[in-house]
Amino acid sequence: SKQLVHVKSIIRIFSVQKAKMALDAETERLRGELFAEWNKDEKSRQLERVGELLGSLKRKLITLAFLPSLGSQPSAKELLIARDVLEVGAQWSIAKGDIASFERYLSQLKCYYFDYRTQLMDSSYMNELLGLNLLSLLVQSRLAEFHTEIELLPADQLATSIYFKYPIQLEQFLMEGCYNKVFALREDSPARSYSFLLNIMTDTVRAEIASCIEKAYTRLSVADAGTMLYFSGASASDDLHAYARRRSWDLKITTCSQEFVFSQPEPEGRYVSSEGLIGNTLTYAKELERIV
Amino acid sequence: KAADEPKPAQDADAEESEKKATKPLSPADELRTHLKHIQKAVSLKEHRYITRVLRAIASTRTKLADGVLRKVIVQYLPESPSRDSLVAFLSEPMDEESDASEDTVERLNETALQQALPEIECYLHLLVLIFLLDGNQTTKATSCAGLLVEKVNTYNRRSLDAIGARCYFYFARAYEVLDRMQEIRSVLLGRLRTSTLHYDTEGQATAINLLLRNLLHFRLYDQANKLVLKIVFPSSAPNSECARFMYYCGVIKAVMLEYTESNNFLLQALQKSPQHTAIGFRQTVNKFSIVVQLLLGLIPDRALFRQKHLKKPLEPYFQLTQAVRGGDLQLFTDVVANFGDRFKADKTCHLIIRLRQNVIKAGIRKICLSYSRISLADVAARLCLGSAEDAEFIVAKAIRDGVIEASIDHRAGFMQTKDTLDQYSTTEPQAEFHKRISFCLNLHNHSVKAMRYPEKKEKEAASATASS
Repeated sequence: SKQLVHVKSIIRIFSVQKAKMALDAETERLRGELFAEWNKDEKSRQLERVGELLGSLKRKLITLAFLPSLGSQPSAKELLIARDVLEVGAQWSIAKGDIASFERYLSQLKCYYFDYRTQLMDSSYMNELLGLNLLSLLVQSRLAEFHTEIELLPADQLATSIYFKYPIQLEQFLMEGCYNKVFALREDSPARSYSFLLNIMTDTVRAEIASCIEKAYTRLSVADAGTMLYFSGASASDDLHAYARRRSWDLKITTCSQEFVFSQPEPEGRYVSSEGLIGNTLTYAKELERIV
Repeated sequence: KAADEPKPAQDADAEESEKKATKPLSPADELRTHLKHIQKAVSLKEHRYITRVLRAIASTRTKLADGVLRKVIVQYLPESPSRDSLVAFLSEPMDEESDASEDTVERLNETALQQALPEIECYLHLLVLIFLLDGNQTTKATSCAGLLVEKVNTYNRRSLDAIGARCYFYFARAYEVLDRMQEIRSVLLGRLRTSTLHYDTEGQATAINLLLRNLLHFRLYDQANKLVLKIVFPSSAPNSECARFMYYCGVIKAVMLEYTESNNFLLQALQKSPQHTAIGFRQTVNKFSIVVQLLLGLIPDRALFRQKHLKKPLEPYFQLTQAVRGGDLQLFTDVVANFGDRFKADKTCHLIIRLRQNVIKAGIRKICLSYSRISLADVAARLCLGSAEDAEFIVAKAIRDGVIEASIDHRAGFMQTKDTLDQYSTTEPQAEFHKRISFCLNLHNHSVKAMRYPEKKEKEAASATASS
């Protein structure tokens, strides 16, 4: 009976392996289809189809060693397949405009980029996707995470790779306030996939500039406001007026010119909050009583 | 950190001359007195003997030698495979000095003990590990350390807590020297769990600090932050561990842009660290503290840079402070270019890059104070900003952030400063006073709390009030 148990276990191992091999064939087929669909020209590719393929591939990958877990020793081939699929997923999320899904894919990808770095060769898309990640954090003003992400990047590439230098420079300009440089850099993005996030950023930056204008200027002519806010093109003037109305700016029209007038709010601080003072004085009295 | 403490070379010399003059207290005898202390501690359940022995490790480690260790181990530990494996780490003995007769008397007394105390075993093993580390035999040290932590894990005795904590410290140190730190992370996590369950405050504190050091070494600030949020650092941990924990927390908060909290942590770390020793630790904490204060907009005191041991290491930071204070962007870029390697070695370079906007803000503030009206082109020239358009945007942002009080005239291209409000007519002085009063009251309360147990804590209270 001992030998029977032994034989049964061998058969079980063989069947698992056979199932695995069958799985691999299916995965390969799906993967081939995914890449074929994704690599088509932009006009003809269908994002929904890609989404479906990604979903079914993810289900297959879970049966293989998808993410590191105790006791699993994935082969290099499995890791490569998983990483390629995830990369396509991340790029697809950006094309679709879904930032949450992009972040999910990227958090899974980071494990492949950093923890398995010794086992796999660096992917060609790695820098681009990590740079995209930085940019998305910047656009959402999640600066603490932006800086922690920078710490994780490989130091040698940080200075050289254009994908990294781009968001870092953008952050520097935003912090300093050189918004004109921000707009100049916008034209200069290193990859096509960056344009979606950069459009979102334009709106953020424009809001920043508008709030700066409100505080810093007493009056500003309409033409100058248009250039400062970077409204351009045929409908520039209409955009500008619509924007001004949204932010409730005063428009003063005289015979010679049109101007926006900003009034400064009265400085507060003339009043002393009695509750705060009472609270403070009571704490002082209590502490002093303790010092006996 | 214990590894950074300066070896008391003068003490060793004094010992040498003392040895020749009076009855020599050989290193072996010193070890024996330590072991007697440990035995007394275990039998009387007095913790302070063990702390005294551990504090003496700093001076003991200079006197260790193969022969000394081998002699003492052979005397004190009974025959066992663990003793043989321990002795195997030491090199072959040369001609041993002839023992005085009193040694044989000691040996007879000791063999009366059926079995060596686990504390003694672990202490001797720890000394062997330290000796290997000091002798740069790092591969042997790592295997020795591995055996040691296994041994410590088998026991669950409260008297072994302090020694066990030290063992883990040197275990992590051995792996750090060999640059194999990612292997021990799970070991350290396991140790943290065990020591928390055993209410072993020293072990818990040491494990937390070692884990943080490990994570920060690989710059996993996110994970380190999560660790800090989830655990409760034991408040009754020894001061050295508290100081280290504050330092790590300060570094994490600084990277995550929470500069006020980071500043608090780093200042507390400096307060808790010893006055005259631990120079390396104080240098590192001071470097970070200066950068964080600059990021907050405070200028650190000049007297800080003139202190004896801090003068040379803080030299680049002194020039950095001058650049930030003067708002001189040119000087700032020069300093960063010149000392870039040193900043990278200190791991402060990412924080320093963020200082660029502080330099610009300081420059704008200076201009605003000195001019009532200045053209934007001149502002750009003074601040080395590039063009008047840049300057316009930067000044507008500065006005919005409340750095200066001014208004810009776009068509004429100049900026005009407003009259500054009289500070004393607002509630600002009251807020400032309140901050300082609460700080003093807090300090007083902490000192009173530290004075509760006169025999041990009085020394710490004295040093806390002396340093404040």
